[in-house]
Amino acid sequence: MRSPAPRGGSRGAPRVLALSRGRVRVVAAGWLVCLVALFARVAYLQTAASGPLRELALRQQVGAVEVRGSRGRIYDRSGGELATNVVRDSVYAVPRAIQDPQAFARTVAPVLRLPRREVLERVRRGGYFVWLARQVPPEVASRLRALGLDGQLGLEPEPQRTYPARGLAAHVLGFAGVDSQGLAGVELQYDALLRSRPGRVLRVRDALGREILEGRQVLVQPQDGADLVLTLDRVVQHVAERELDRTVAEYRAAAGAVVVMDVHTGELLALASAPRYDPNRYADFPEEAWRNRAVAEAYEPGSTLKLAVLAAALEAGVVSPTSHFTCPGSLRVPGGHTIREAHGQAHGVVSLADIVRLSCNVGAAQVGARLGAQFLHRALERFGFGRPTGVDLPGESPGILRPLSAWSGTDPYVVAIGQGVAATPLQVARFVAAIANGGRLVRPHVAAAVREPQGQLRRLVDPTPAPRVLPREVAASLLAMMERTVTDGTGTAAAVEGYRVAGKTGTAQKPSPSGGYEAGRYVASFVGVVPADRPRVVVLVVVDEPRGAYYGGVVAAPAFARIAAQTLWALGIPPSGSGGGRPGSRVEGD
Amino acid sequence: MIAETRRQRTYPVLLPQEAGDRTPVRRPARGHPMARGLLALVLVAVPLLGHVWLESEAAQRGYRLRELRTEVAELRRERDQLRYRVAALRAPDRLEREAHALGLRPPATGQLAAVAVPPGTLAAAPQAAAPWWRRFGDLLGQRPASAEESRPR
Repeated sequence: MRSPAPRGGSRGAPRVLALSRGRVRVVAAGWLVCLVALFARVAYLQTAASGPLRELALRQQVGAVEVRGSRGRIYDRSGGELATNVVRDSVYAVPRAIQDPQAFARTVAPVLRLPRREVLERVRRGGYFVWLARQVPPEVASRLRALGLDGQLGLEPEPQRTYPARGLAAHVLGFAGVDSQGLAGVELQYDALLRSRPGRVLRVRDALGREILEGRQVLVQPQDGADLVLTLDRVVQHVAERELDRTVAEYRAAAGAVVVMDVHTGELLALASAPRYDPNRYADFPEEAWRNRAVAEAYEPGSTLKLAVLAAALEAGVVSPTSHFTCPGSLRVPGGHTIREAHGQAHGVVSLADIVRLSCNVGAAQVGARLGAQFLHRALERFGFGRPTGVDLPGESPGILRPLSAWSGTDPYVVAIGQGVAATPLQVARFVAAIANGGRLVRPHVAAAVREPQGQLRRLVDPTPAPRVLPREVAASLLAMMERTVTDGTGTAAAVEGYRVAGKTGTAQKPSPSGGYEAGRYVASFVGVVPADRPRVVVLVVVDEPRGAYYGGVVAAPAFARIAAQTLWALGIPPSGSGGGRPGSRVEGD
Repeated sequence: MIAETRRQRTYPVLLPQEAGDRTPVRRPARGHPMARGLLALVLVAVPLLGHVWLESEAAQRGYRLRELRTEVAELRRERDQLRYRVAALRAPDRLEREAHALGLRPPATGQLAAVAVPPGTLAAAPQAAAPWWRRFGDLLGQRPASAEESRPR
């Protein structure tokens, strides 16, 4: 019997194998051809075509971008933030991607609150990038995102300088522009310190435009700006601004200024000016409102300058605290001018203390004449008049102290009553601080310390010691005379309950640009020291062109009293005679 | 007559060894060529695939990192905004308005009293008012050395 032939037997297997081998060879040959072609292409791309392709790829994938750090913050002396940064979106358009500029402008302009024509003009300029609005509010950014104009319109986050307390200390702080550059005030003065150093980062993007972090390289590390701590006390600053606003409104005055300064260190606790502005919206206010009048505007100080004349006379020894003068109510001086008392009232025989207490013009003019032009001029120079105080704020006026060669025979008389000389409020306050601290002319300043980005706090100390400009006895004598102004003189409205106050009123007619003085236009002022028994602060209030009343004792003295009282409370200075001079005493609310 | 002599030549012959002396010679293993190719492919492909996988993983992590960075930036943005809000709420002007709304008034005559503390008492009592640089440091969460060391002398 024949056995059946095996299925797929020995004769079939080699045949299938041979067939498979043939196919494999064909496939392998195909792969080989493909591989050769691929390698050839790769070789071509890597050699002959590499240059342009590399450039194209680099352009598309790699880019160095500027990375901005954060501008330094500004704090008051107790750590309250006065200037800080928030991130806002800035809006740009891609004109090349906009098919219908009219429709685009119609959609976007109302959201940005811009005229449609303006948006249209910018878009029609063409190109790949054009700013439409910088640093818009969050709600505007949200509305723009909701428009779904991706590709045509974009939002770029940018840091924006903001001032949380709005108008508080605006004239000191100044403001910074959209590119975080200081433009006024401390922001300008300390711009180099506050400003961040931009860095550069090399970014690699994938085909979808997403950043590939492995490719990221920091070429230049960005650096945050340093923080600045000011000497200002925001509570005292608020009190000063509130009372100045109230006084300016009450007397419908054109402007005003307040200085509150530590008499021993020159630290400015408050520096207020009216009219005020909000640095968050500085462009909405006239430039006039930006001016720091306490620093940048000089005025004829009037009777407050009598203190300088008496100080110079006492120091020169031409008068003594017991000297007396006769005041007939008016005095004819060289040059044909007549110096009169405010009400034409004759004071009779007056002592130096009476000259201060009653603000006697005739008595002061006689002291000035006795001192002589040369001594008086030299003394005023030494007291800091006619030159900047060196305060760390921009735009300081040096005031006006004409050279001695330009003085006439009348000047010793008129300068003695505060005319013919112009001083900034800061210069007057600084001189009175010298009286209060025993005769040293301190340098006013607003910056207390710098906090480096690494956290180190570095105090800014003026290495130059305050020069002595008055003997201690003369300063003490003048301070005692000033106290009488408040107890029974022209400045009784400046009294602060519980505290001894030393001060001086000032009422000056405003000079006319055409010569002489303008009728009915005055500058009312009051400068005082509290507490008079342990001087801590000097407060000066200046009100420009008040209406209804114009005497310093009426217009400025009440504001002084309110500011001084609240400053003393805020600083925890105990009332006079309470034994509060000892360390450890403090004021507590009931 | 010269007899023709048969020339003889000896050829070396490698005779088979005796069965007892023969030691087996191991031939180099020769796998199937396809198997060898596959092995080579695996040896090359696995590291390559591993490299690709790692690159891909790194890229994915990179994207995640990018997302986290974006999130950090958003949180920073929110922090700055809140910080601004806190500062605005603490503004003296606003506090004064709120105080007035609550019926608070500045102290009147006789409502302030100066309390004289005998010398030496303060050393035992907690400090009521910290110096400004310490308060400043507290505010920034930097109570520490940096602020303390550089305090004014």
